[in-house]
Amino acid sequence: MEMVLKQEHKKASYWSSVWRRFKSNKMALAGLIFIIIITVAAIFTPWIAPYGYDETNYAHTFEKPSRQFIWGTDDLGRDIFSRNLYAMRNALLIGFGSQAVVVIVGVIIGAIAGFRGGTVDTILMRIVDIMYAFPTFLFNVILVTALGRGIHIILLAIGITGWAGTARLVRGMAMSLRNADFVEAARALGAKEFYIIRKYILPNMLGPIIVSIAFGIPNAIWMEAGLALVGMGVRPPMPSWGNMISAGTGYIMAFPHMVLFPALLFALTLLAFTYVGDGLRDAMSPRGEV
Amino acid sequence: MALFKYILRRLLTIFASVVVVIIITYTLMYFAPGEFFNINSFTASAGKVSTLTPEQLQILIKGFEEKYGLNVPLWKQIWNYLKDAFRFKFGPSFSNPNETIEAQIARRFPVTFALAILAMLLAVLIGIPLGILAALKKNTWADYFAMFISMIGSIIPAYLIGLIMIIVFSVYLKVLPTSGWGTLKQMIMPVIAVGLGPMAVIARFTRSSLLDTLSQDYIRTAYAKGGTEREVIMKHALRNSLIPVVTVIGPQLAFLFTGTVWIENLFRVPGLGQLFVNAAAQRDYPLLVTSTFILSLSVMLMNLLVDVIYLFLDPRIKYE
Repeated sequence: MEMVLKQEHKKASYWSSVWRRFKSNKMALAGLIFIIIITVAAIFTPWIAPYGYDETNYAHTFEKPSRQFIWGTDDLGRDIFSRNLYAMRNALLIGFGSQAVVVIVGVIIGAIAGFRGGTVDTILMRIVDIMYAFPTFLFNVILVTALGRGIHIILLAIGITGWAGTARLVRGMAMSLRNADFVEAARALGAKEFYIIRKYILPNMLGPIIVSIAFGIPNAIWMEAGLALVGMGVRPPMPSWGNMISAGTGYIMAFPHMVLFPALLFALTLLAFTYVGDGLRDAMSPRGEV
Repeated sequence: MALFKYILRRLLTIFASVVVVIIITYTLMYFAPGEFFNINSFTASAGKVSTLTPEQLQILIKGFEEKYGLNVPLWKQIWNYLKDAFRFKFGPSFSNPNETIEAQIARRFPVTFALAILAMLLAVLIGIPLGILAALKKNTWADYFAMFISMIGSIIPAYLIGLIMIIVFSVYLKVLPTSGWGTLKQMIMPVIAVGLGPMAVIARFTRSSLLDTLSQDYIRTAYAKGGTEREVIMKHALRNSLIPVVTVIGPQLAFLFTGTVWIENLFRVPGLGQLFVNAAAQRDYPLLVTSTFILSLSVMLMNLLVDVIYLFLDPRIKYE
């Protein structure tokens, strides 16, 4: 009982020291606050947005920002602020959703390869090598061309093409943890394999996996925008930052606000996730512990 | 000998990867909507809208099947494609039946290659000095400026950078053309747009690598032996800190090759990326499979090249 208590205490102190170091990084903290705000906004978008994303109003096309339409309107008289909110919702859905796919596939493949070793490892790692070699953007275009442009398909496509790096990461950690002294000790004391994985292996893998998610989310959002720019992203009228920017490109001279707002919000979101990722990596890396 | 074996093994991996890429792409395209590869469903749907008699339609489809080799099962089609692909014979495309795909590729590949290489040169020739400057003048305005440029380059997508440049240099200043490829003036903006992202990464990596090296013991030793600042930096610090920079160039090259896809479409550069996007948009499946194959192969060969260069530069690395 005492041992368990001690362990709980130690665990809490690790995460609280991570949080303490993370907090001291002002940019990372600002990024986190920004992400929390946009996530809340994304969840409640249908209630916050003053207009629907496909609510056209031909009496008010190409309007500059005003009291009625705070970020102006686009070529079909749709409210750009509302469309940005929906685009943000889609971006976060794609970001978090695709990373869920990445983590599930990557952790399973990587853990099996790392713990089993031998032929299984060789075969799985050859598959990972090939996935790694296939240029991600091209693979995404191919998948979306074949399967369609629904938001869930895009989310799945980005996940399917992105797990190779996570699998390598997890495999590396699994191989070193498998033979770590404290795992050997637990095994010698008669701990079951599943107990060891749950109690010792997973908590040790958590940090690097969280960091990889933090960097994976902006990459996924970026990937959707990249697909949209070549006409392969979320299908209009459903807005995404990519398709709003690419639609606005045609009117950029006369009505720059059509590109400006989505581009700004898009860049800020990527920046926020990148800073949070940097902050988490620094806070969790053992080298940070002096 | 070990090097030769290493390269041979890598080439085998690339060969296997390319075969898998083709199989995946071809299979996905076979089942893609439109089903051009599936001749039965094509016949059924064409019969509904065509004004031709069934016999005329049969002849037309037969000709189409033979021209594109679609009159055999999927595995046979892939096998035939693979056989032809390694002799660089791809036949005609759907959208341009009078020209072979290899002729289109041959025309466009040099353009994309030039764009990628020029952008990489720009990234290396500006990124490395910028990183060195930032490291040597750590925590001064020069450092902050270099890191600000680097942040802009890594956060703002190449497409937006291109767009901003078009507004500034083409529309307002009217000094550079918005599209095309061939003259120096036409090349400036696409090269900068593609190269800025990799430049940012290289600058940041150079900075941290050099700072890391400067804190090593052997640098202190070199100073202790009476080396001047200039000598120590040029002879000991720079050489050792630039070797790891080569490792980021490999992934950046891959990134850069796909980055050309957007920039070629924005600036109407007649390269492979534009070919790839047009093929996807027009559902020109043979062309899509082939341009994916060529782009993937280019990326993999570039990565191999960078790894081999790295092996030459760092004698500590063993070919595993």
